[in-house]
Amino acid sequence: MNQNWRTARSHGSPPWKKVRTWVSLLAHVAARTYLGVLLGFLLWTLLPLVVGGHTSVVMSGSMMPNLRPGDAIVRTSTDPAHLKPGQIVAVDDPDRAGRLRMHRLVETRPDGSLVLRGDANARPDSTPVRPGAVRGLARLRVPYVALPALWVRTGHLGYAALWLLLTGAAVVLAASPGRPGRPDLPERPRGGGTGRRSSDSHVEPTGGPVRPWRRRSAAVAMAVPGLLIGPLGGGVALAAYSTVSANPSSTFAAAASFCATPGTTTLNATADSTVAQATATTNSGTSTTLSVSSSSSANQRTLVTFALPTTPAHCTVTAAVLTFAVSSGVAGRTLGVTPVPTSWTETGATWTNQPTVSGTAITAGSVATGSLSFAVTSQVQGMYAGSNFGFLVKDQTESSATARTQTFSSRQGATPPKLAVTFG
Amino acid sequence: MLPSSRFAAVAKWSSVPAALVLSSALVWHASYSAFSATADNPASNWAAGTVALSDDDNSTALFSATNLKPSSTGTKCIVVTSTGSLPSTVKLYGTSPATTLGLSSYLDLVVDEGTGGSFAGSGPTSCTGFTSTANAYTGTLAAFGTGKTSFATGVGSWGPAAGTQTHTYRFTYTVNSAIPNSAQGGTAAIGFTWEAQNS
Repeated sequence: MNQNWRTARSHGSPPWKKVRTWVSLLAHVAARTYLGVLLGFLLWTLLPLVVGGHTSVVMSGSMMPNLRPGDAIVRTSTDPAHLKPGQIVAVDDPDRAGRLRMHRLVETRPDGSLVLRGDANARPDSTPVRPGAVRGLARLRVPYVALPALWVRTGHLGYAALWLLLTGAAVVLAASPGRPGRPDLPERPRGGGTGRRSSDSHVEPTGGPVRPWRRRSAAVAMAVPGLLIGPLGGGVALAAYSTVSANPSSTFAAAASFCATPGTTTLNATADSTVAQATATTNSGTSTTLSVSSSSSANQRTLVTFALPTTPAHCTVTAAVLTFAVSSGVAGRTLGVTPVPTSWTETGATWTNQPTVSGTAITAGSVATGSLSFAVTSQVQGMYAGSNFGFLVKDQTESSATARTQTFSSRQGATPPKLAVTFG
Repeated sequence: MLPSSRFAAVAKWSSVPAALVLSSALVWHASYSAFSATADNPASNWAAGTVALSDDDNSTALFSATNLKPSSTGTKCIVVTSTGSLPSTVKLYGTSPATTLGLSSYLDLVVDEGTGGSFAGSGPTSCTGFTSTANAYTGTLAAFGTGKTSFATGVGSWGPAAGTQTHTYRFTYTVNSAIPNSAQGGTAAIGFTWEAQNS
């Protein structure tokens, strides 16, 4: 019961049959076009694999609108050194092991690492990419073709099923003999001289054995989704969306001093003695006075020491002043203070056994009355850093022909020598 | 009228080559537009889902601490909000770390994650109501600045689902009591950045 169109027309088919015939033809053509496009996409997607390319599915929209989820991207291997900003590269995701990221190259840093950005991201990716992580340069974008794979992977099985159904229907429509009518129409006589293909002329009646085109279409209907979901599902490019929220720079400034108890401690001398060249083996530690004298073969020097307190936590010595109360003296002399490097005792020190000092003295001009002070900050800091055996005070120009003598109160006298130590 | 059989045959058999040409044209167009686009494409098209992150700091730094001494300490909470339409992973890392006199090596930093609290309120009062669920970081500010520099190396375990989600981070710094006096007058600076990537 075949029927060709000319026959139908010559028999004057009713209008509804004409409409159905047109619809049938259009559906057939549409189904073939759809499948043809699908086939074309597949060829563009899969043929590059033959020549060593790789295909990945875009899974997220961080490259929107230039790469869309469901696109298949064909990439070829590339030398990272030759990449140019603006090119889209596939790299091993630096933030998640085992994933592929496809973003656009922003810049290549001097150290060779690559800075990428998703077109839809406001900022470049925070983690630069090593050149060795580059998996290829995106060469070809096949739109839509991987949507089924995307749906399957993202659990949108409803979409996938609907697509399968429609594609299956298209396969059936396209692979059908393409008769415009239905089997209930009158059949075209066999061997009708219209150059029809043999498949058209061997159609069995409805309800007969399974027709070969149905078997073929069933096979195609199974193969196409397999092609789309199978190989494409393997290489997935996660074009990572990223965004940041940044807090402005926090700042921390340490105090100029960590000293918890800054302040000045004034110490009295714990030992002092004059050593006199004229009486070189005599100790005068218990005297109430101390002397410094420049006199030929009768020089006198003063030894004085203090028990330095423990430095308070996180404090340092910021100032130290050594002060003597002047009992009598002459102005115009220059006196110098030097730290003592070895031990001595108040009741044992003599000119003969006095410690040998070295180093630069801290000086002050002598006064006739009042007090005489030396700014010995660096020396006290040195004592805290090293050892403390006190100070030696002497005239900077000893052995003058005429005796020039300064006399201070000793610790046994009215106003002992003092050391004011300031911590800060 | 009905289609002629010749027309029908031409339509049927030209449809496949036409479709192949069409598909090639589509591939060419799609490739051309994607690969010739500039990197400065405006980030406006979020139709396919997005990740979005904000916080309640109103562009105020977490800390602007001065006159720090040994054992000085400070606490501040900040609430980060994710409003993406995709589930994501959020990591915290530092940007532009800087220090003088080695101060940052003696600033001990603890970052806890949890719920409650807000940026408003000075110092510890901003953490009123904060409940910790996890520790994100314990170490020096210096180590944070050099080691936590990107999403890959960032800290934190927050994985917000799609929709509006909030998460509180409590920052506590303490000046290490072993800080040497050589760090007196030293400074340190760091920016704290949260990054969300769709998971």
